Amino acid sequence: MKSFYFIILLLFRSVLLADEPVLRWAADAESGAPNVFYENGDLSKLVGFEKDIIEHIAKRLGCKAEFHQNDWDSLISGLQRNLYDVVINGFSPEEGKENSAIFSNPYYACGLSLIIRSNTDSIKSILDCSGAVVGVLRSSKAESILTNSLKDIKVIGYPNEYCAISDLRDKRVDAILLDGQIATYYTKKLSGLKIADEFDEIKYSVVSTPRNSELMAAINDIIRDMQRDGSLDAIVSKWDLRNVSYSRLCEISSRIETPSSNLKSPEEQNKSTVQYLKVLPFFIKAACVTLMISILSMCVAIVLGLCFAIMRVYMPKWISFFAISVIELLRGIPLLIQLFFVFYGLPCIGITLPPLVAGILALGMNYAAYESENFRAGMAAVPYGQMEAARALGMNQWQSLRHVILPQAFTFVLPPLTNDFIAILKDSSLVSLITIMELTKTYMLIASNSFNFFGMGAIVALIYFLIGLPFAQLAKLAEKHLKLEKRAYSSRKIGGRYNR
Amino acid sequence: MSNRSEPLISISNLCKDYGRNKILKHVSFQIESGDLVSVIGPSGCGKSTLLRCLNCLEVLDDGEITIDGVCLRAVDHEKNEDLFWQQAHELRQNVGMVFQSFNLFPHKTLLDNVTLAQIVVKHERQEKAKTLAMSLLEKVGLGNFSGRYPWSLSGGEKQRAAIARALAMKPKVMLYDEPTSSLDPEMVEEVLQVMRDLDAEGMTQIIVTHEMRFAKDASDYIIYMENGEIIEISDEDEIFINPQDDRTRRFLKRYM
Repeated sequence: MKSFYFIILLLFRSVLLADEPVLRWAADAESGAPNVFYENGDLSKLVGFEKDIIEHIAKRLGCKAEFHQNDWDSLISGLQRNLYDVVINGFSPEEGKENSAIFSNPYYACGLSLIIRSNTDSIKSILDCSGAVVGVLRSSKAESILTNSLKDIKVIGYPNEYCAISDLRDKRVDAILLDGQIATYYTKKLSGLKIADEFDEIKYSVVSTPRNSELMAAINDIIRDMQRDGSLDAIVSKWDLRNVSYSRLCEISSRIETPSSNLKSPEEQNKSTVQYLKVLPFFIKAACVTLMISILSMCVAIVLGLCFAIMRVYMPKWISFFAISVIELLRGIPLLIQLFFVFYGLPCIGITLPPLVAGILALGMNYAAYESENFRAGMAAVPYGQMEAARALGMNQWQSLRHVILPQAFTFVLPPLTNDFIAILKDSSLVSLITIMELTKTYMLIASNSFNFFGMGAIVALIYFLIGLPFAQLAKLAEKHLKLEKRAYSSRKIGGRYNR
Repeated sequence: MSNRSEPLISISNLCKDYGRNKILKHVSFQIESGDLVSVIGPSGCGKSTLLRCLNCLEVLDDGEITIDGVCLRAVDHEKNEDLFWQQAHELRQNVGMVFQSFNLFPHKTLLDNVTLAQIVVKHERQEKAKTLAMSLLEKVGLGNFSGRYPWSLSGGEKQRAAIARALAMKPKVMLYDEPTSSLDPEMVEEVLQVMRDLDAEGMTQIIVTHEMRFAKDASDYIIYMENGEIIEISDEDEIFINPQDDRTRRFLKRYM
């Protein structure tokens, strides 16, 4: 119930605060250090140099900055979907998205850094890497450089920095090529790594859509002003991210300071139980979201599935054919594609659904196909004589279904239904891809920002298990209550211990 | 046979086939109110199908059935299906059916089994339906079983409950499709006794059965069928003592 209020509150918040101007900005905080990330996995502490920059911009625009989480791959799609106004997350204009997005003047620049393990001596520059395995971020500039120009390097694309870096430490790759400031941040934060080589130059820009060109003009002015009056430099210095490329960008003298490591090593913090207690509220909130999405999608699935099953079995041929086609279509297409279609596709024809509704609808429809087959099997399992007896008593087809067939079919359908509920509980993690912060996404954010995939993983696994458990028990109770024949439930005892 | 002039059930030229297999071939007969009629004959002779046609569980292919003034015509099914099913619905109101395999609703108690159709079809009030149901259950000797579920009953009890369920719709005719065939021998009598009681009250009943002794003792008359045709309609004593047809004689010889 609490999560319901939470969602309603979310829906109303935008209405209530309508008179205060808001700059909606988005980034991927999953393993996003030092750009945008959660400090030590504490989801109430969003930090990062890009966050500082955008908040500064928002302040000068006279608005309140409002953060929206989205996956890096989907950030631009979300812009077009009008989920937020701007994206600030290490995007550079070179990356070939000009037709759908507009880029501001750069606010930061850096090189590409090649990170290796401290004890590796054989790699001095990127040219030494031929034959080696090099990790990069998926669809980053580093990836395009390596795959296009250095063909004898085996390139592995990673979804986020932390995965790449932990693979480097675990010796699954020989080196990784990352944006300079990310490389600097991690080599400072984690032991056993060093930067071997630095080359090329990337510039970071704020991204928006052509729709917001006026806003972008204002942002361009602000970035220029910030460069002039030193406030941009203050932020960059605060995060200790100055470098040659950046200095060239700002036309200030290069003065790279020695790193001052004032942050505690993350490995030390991991071990404190305080950290687990601190993240627990976020997990519980996310679990509520997951549970709510699962229950609502299952309701959609059951209602739709039942309709499809009845249409298929008891309706005229053309309706039955329609139902079969829909069922085949829905279960033949991956859930992920349906989800993206509903969320990012439907707006193209004028149907724009909020993320939660889109997620519940897509999940519900996908599962409706499976539930309809469950119901069909359940109805087929009811002896035909039941229908005859009902019809002979003068009931029409609908009355017979409603009072005689379906109540019995439901008892047969309950076990597979429970099965599917637990499956939907897990499949609901996919809705994180359309910006919903549910359990899996929360885990990824917390784990990647606190460098603790093991402990957090154990917690999240336990939560999923605990959510599913009562439903399995509930179904067991319901089965007992709805039993048609005592015999059916003791039949497994036939033969007793001689049963083989 | 009774002497009343207006027949309650009148069947003329009834035909039914499954593909090329002709199950009923031009069957015609009439039954008057209050009669107890047994239909006998070898397996596959069409006697069950005949009974199911009377309740529209099978759609007749030709001919017509009239029960208490409601007329069901095969031509209507082809030309005006809505009218046909409307008629069928009306016809079913007057006809109660009891099946070989009871077909009680397993998810409901006996009381709910008997009240369900009253409430759903006739829109009776709950209390009224319950009162009638209780009196019917007592009548078939199941007054103490009203809260029990079908799985906890014996075969004979189940069949008696099924009869009570059909009676709750206040039918003018009761049809029984081999009501005792799946019962243990010692339970047959309790079901037959219910039917005898109903006969004494003047209920019109048609029974498809292999219980020759019951057919002989209780029936007003007997229809003998073979190969989808009525071979002989005759007084219960006459058919057993002095069958007119050779086929009837051969069939009865195996039983008697």
